[in-house]
Amino acid sequence: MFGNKDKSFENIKDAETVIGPAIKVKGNFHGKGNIIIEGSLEGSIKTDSSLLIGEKAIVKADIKAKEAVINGSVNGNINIDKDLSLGKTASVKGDVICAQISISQGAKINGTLSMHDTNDEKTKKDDTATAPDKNNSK
Amino acid sequence: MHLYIYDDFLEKSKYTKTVNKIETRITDLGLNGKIIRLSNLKNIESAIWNEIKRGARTLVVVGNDGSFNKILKTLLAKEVSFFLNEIFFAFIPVENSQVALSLGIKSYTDACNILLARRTENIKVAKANNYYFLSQAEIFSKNIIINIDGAYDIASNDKSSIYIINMPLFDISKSLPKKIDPRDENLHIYINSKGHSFLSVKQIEVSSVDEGYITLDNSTKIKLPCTLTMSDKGVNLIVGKKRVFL
Repeated sequence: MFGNKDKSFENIKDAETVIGPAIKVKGNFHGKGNIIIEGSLEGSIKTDSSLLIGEKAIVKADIKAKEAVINGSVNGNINIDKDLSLGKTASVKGDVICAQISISQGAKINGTLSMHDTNDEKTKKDDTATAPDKNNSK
Repeated sequence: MHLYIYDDFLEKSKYTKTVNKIETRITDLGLNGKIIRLSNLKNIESAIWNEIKRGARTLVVVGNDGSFNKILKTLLAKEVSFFLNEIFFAFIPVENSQVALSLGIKSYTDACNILLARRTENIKVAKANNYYFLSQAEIFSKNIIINIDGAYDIASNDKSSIYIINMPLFDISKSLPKKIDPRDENLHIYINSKGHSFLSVKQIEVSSVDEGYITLDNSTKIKLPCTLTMSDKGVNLIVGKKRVFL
């Protein structure tokens, strides 16, 4: 996970992929290692590691990741295998599914939130960012 | 057998002292070999090819970054490339050199010691259209579109410096967020524009609305559009401990 240093992006050296603030990405962005997004992205994001979305990032995409820290704007469904952290500047429009969540004061979520068990094999195998079942949502 | 390839600019008197020092050091270390001078050659490729046929297996370029790239292109030419696996490629820089620093060579004295130590790495060579490059490509154009692995596009603002890296040159290596492994099958995109961007990918297609070009290894200029991938060729380089890549 990105730990406590994520807000200052001090872990940038650990990321396999960094999308800087002046960069626009369009399409299906699939990576294997940690991903940091500080620019804008439209399409989908998938990684088997951690994802950090920076404060000024604008993401219009479905997201699938092992763990994520979101500090920017996300318009799309979010499917996280383990921990999801929403910072005080985070703004999410879409359905969220994860095993554990921490939400800072000021973070906004417009959508359903579903929690799954960390050991839920079904969720682990699901490699697409899908909307949660609304019947189970909180 | 060592083959020393001297670039033609070393004929100038200001390099005489340096060349003498290099030759003395090479002799002291017992690394003597045949010397060929590019100034006397009409066809570099056939001259090197002839020496390889006579048994030369360690080619040592003495010169600058331009010399290194010139000989590397020759090595990747059709006939010579059949022997790439058997040939070792070394570099003795006579002036400031980004390639040498990248390989962990600080000076010509250092280069002689590194040649003796003979630490080797097989570095994969990248390809841009039909041209090979070892270190990096730099994109010069406005309004470019970069397609990655056929899956997504990247656009950057006009003031960006965009590099596609296989083996990073020394100056760029200092800016990269992580050490690159040029033995892998990936190319790496580094964009410097109001912050840094870094991606590891397999295939890159660069196109431009305006006329644009890419320079390869600071020496070859090719027009856009251009497709960049890793090639199936690798070069055995003699490197120092302090090289900038893994």
